[in-house]
Amino acid sequence: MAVLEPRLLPLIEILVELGLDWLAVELVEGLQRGEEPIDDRKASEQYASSSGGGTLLQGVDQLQWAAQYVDKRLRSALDQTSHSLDALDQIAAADAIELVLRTDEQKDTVDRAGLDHARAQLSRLSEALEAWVRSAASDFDQ
Amino acid sequence: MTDDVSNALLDIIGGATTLLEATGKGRTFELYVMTGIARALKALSYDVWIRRSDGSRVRPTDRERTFVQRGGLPTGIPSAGDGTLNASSIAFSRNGRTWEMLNGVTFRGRSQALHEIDIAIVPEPVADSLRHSGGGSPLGRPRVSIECKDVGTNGSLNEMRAFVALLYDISLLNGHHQYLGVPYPARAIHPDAPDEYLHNSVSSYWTENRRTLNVLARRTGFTQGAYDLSDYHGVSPYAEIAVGSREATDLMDAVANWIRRRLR
Repeated sequence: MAVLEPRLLPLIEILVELGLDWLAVELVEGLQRGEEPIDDRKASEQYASSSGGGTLLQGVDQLQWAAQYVDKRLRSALDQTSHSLDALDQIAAADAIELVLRTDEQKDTVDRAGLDHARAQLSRLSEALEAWVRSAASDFDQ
Repeated sequence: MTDDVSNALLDIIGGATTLLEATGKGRTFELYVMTGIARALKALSYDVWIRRSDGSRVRPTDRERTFVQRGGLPTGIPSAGDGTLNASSIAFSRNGRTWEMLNGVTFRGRSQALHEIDIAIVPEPVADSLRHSGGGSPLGRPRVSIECKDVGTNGSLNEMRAFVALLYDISLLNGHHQYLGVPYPARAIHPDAPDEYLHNSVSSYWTENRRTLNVLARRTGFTQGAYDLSDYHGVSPYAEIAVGSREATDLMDAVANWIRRRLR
């Protein structure tokens, strides 16, 4: 199990404060397990025979992995939602089907306009995460 | 620097508030798989539609054109009497037979335990019967059961074992019915499954496992032990399911084609 790099804490705090605590948990668990970088994940025989553990990252490598993970995970979730909305429109033969996620306590809604807006912010997020990694990494050097 | 990250995240969440719900990210993956199968069925000339929780069909001209997913604790099929705000389903029909694809519905096993199945396909009369009698969980096994795992680790032997155990508990074979108190004739799923081979109970798990479609679909892969267990128990493992992946297309096409061949 990897020891978490303390400079990860600001990113984890942001995720929790914004309500993305599930993502914070995934991030910490992935680092502790030494999860494979998500870009390099392929269904290979070697991968299938492993138990899912990869190389345990240290220091600035953890920051880079975390930034990449947040970016890719949100991108993946938004891509899935976008495909689902397209499919629902096609199924209903109608434009602008609205997706509602409802629990006993709350109701969250996503429509095409909101989703497109969210996806348009992904490149901004990527740049902000890269800048954060560079900044935190330079702290290592000092 | 962290302010820029925070502001970008805020804007993303603002457009997609479903990201905030802890169960939402799992439901997002399930919906992606479910709607992909529905789209593949439509390509096979099925009539496919969104069904509200009161049983009505979402039509292009309706003002209320929503698909509702339930987060939080899993439940059975909602009561039609509770209106349209509970979980929607996707219905599909061909040659006069209608089926219903459910998301996150619980099924009752022989043990009386409730088991949530991420995507399940049941005959319309089963869903209708429950919907119009106050809602609840079907007793028995859907003809298609899909477990979805949007997680970073490879699927373990334990995960596969849990799915096999779930299928075991919800299988109603000949001879089980005498102590379950369900009405005659014996069916693989209750209530009100049609009286035909596909829904009549059979004698062995081997047969039941192979006349149903049982899928474990994962964003990542499987360990070798999980693969070893799957084949004997009739579970089809699908790895690397992601938007745009060949594996995702293969999964959705395979399920739709199985339905076309077997759910006639």
